[in-house]
Amino acid sequence: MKTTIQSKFKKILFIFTIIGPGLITVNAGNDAGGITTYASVGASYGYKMLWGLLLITFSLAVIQEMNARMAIVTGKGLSDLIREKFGVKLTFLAMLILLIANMGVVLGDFAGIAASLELFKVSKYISVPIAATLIWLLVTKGSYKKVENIFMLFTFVFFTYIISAFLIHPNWGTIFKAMATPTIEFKSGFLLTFIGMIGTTITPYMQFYLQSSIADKKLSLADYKYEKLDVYLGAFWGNAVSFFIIVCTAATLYKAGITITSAQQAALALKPLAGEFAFILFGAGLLGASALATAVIPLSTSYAICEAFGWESGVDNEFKDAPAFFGIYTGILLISALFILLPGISLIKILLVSQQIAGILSPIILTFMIILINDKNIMGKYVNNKTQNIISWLTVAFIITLSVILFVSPLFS
Amino acid sequence: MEKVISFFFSKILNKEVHNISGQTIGKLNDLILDFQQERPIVKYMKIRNGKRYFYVSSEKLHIRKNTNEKYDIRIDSESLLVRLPEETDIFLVRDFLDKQIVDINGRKVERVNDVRLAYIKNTMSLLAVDIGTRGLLRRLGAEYAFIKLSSLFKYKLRNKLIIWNNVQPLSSGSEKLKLLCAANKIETLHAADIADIIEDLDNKNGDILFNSLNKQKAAEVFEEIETDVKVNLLNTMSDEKASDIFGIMPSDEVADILEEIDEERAEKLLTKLNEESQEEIRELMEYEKESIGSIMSKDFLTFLPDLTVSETINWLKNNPVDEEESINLYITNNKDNLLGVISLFSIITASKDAKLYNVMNSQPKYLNDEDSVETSIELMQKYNLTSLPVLDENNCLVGTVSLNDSIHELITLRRVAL
Repeated sequence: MKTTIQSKFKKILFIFTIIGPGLITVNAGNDAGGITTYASVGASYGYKMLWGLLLITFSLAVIQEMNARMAIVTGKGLSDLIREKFGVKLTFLAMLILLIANMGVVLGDFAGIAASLELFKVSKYISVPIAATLIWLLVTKGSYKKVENIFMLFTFVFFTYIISAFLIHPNWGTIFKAMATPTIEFKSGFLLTFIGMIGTTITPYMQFYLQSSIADKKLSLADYKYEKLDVYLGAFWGNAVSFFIIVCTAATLYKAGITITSAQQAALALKPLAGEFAFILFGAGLLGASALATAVIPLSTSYAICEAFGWESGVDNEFKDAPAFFGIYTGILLISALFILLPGISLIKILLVSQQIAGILSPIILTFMIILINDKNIMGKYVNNKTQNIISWLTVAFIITLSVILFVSPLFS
Repeated sequence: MEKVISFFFSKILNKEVHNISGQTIGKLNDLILDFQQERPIVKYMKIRNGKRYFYVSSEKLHIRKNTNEKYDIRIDSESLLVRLPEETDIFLVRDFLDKQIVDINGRKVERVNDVRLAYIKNTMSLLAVDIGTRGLLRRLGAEYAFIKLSSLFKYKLRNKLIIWNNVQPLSSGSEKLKLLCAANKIETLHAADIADIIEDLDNKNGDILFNSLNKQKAAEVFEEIETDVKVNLLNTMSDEKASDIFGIMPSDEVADILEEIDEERAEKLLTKLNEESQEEIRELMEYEKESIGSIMSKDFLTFLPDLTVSETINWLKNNPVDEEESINLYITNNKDNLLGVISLFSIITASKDAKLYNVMNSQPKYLNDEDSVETSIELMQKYNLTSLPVLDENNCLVGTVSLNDSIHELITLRRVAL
């Protein structure tokens, strides 16, 4: 009897180790850029973009499931697969895009660190160099895993948006109506914010990171059903948090006509819940999310690029054995941190623009993914079905269309 | 225009192919190679003309280049030998280029950036694989720009080639490729190196590589692999293969791994072993994880005290004994109580007809099975020993622990604690 209970417990424990990366990825995905983008979506346009969030939730679920499936069937990361299928030139293109998009995201997250600590009256000229050095040391000297959990704990602050959303008693009828009625404005402000929202949700970095972390677990096809559950849960849960951030900022800031130009305003939406503590709460959450992302993203970028080109990688190596790996990692941190230190730049603007760049670039990585997952030589019978193909191609087409309209519309006005 | 004897594949990939009268018939898209030879031989080329593909024999294929390094690909034959591709064909680009291989000399997994082809006895063969950054740059068409750039810094950009003899292809591209390379070059490596390579590979490739090893080598390699990778290998391994390997492995190693997997499967695998090892393994599995009992070896040699030295030496000569086990011989009474220890060195140097109890060290250092790994290492370090006997609560000799196993366990424990 005891053994059966024990083995049941082991089984449950095992399922939890599978369900994890998806949830963690989405939580890490709600980084500084994400929080700020959702907050500005709500503050500037109220509930008008909620329909878009609903739709991309489905896209996100389908795309992340594709990553999970590729990871389990092939046991390889996305950059490995791109290299093996498309050769050096296209891999170079894909890696360049990944580098640019991720560089932007890291830049955004350094802005997040600076902005969050400015709430506590710490100048960016102090906070950013210290943060960059600490993160570099933590990751390269190998004690990062311990600290990761602390950062992760900070990000749970954003769950308070859910409570806050109920405390302010928004008009739920209007909200659900907005989710069901697509509205679009052909103004570049609206389009950019919309692309930013997509970019922060379906960010290129996420696809590489998620697939590698699932591949690293070396699951067998028998565990695929749990992994599928994990990524679906992750996608819906992550976007549920985004939904409540938008509701909060829409019901408070949009109503009051405040657009977000600094972290102070973004924190205001938590006032109904936390009162004067709103700044502390928001600041801590923003700091945790930013620190987490600045540690993880340069590292995963470096891994992806080195894997694709067959260079030695891993933090266990000495610098001289893996110069490219450490070079890329250090380079991304250094350049992003230095950029934030330029006097007179708007931190919030950097946060928003970096997500918009990620959004515009995301269709290219998605296209690589869709071609890969439909290749019978690679995926065997686990290629996409029709529905998955329709949803993923529609997502690509939708983002491209938005970007084209964005670039063309100024010519006509 | 001079004829080219040896060249990089990327120089002709996607270049125009001409027939004997100089007309362009399409672009070189891929090559079909015969991998069964000692050195793979180019058989056919896949040519792309617009949206059409066709396959032409490479027999009369000649490559020339002019002084500007411009390559000219020409088939010097009146008629083109055309055929259709077969299921079993192995393509250079589709199945080999950009995929992973094992560099037997460097003992590492590498990626194929380019391939060096050469005419040997008038047939085009695969000579070497390029894994260097210069190969990457060549594929990007930026090789010469970078050579100029790096020479400014007095740095010479070199090719990094591995000759075919030292290349072990992996299945990444095609399962067939693996099967066709009959001689398993991997097996020439030390088990610990093969284990490192398997840990580096993805699941699927790791499985295939492991399953290609012979039983003996597989058991040696399996011992060296990290626990989590071990569990994964075991999950996909057949029961037969697993019990074969367990039969060869020391019982303490088997007990360790069985504790990590699903209980039902562990039980099933256990029953496939012979009764003696079953009992040993079950005993070992009872011990607390961090105790000496869980890492001790059940393979050791015991002798009765009134045997003579020459009788003992004869026994050692006539029985299959493991080198590691025979470094220390243990003297016990018929109740398994430890009386003394004799090193192989003292046995050899002692007079032939001395009784063992006269030669043995009658106050040997020992461990209790509940002791910790730290105690084991401290004791061995203090008295300058490489292994220690382990006694249970009844003072019976139940196993031995080597310095090597203790250190390995300590490192693993440290890693978990981190």
